[in-house]
Amino acid sequence: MPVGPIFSAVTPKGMHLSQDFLDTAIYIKGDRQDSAKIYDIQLEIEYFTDDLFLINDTGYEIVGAGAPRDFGTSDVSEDGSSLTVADNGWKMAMRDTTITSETVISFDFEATEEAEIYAISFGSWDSSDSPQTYTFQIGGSKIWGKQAFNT
Amino acid sequence: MQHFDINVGDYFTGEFDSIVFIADDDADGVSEATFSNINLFDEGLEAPMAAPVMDNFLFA
Repeated sequence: MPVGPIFSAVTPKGMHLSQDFLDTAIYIKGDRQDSAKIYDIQLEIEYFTDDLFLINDTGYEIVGAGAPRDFGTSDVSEDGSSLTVADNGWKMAMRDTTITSETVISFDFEATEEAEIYAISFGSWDSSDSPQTYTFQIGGSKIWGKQAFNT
Repeated sequence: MQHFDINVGDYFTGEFDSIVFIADDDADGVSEATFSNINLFDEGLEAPMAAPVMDNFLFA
């Protein structure tokens, strides 16, 4: 069994992994040469990074963004992966987030009604900043927030 | 269904306490949209070995 640090590795598909990609390496050997049976070994590895990306497996609480903006409703799918916002709703998922210069948010979006503004935004707007500064509009007839992703 | 990858950090940085999902329609109050499969991650971790670290963003 190797005991020293592993500085590189090759995946079963032949990809060479440098030290940058390896925080942990695990060596496993298994055989049963005295048996005709073949055993499968399954290794499950869970990755965790720092707090910014830590998974909250209990889900994020959804609350209304308050007057004068939120008048609508919201509904969460059974598996917690989807949030539907309707009828002039502004809904917040309570999640502390640090946005760095490298941060990306990805998601799927589907609108089933016409509206003025469909958007995703980051909260904690202080009085000196407009919420539009932290808002990406992705649909709707009214122009509000950043427009780079409003297709 | 549309998919978005928004490089938020190119537009602003900072501390926030919520992510807001907006379906605004003051005129007649009728709107409906679904946001799903949300991942928040550091672009620098999009390497093959790092892909699973994305935040599996679930709603309560």
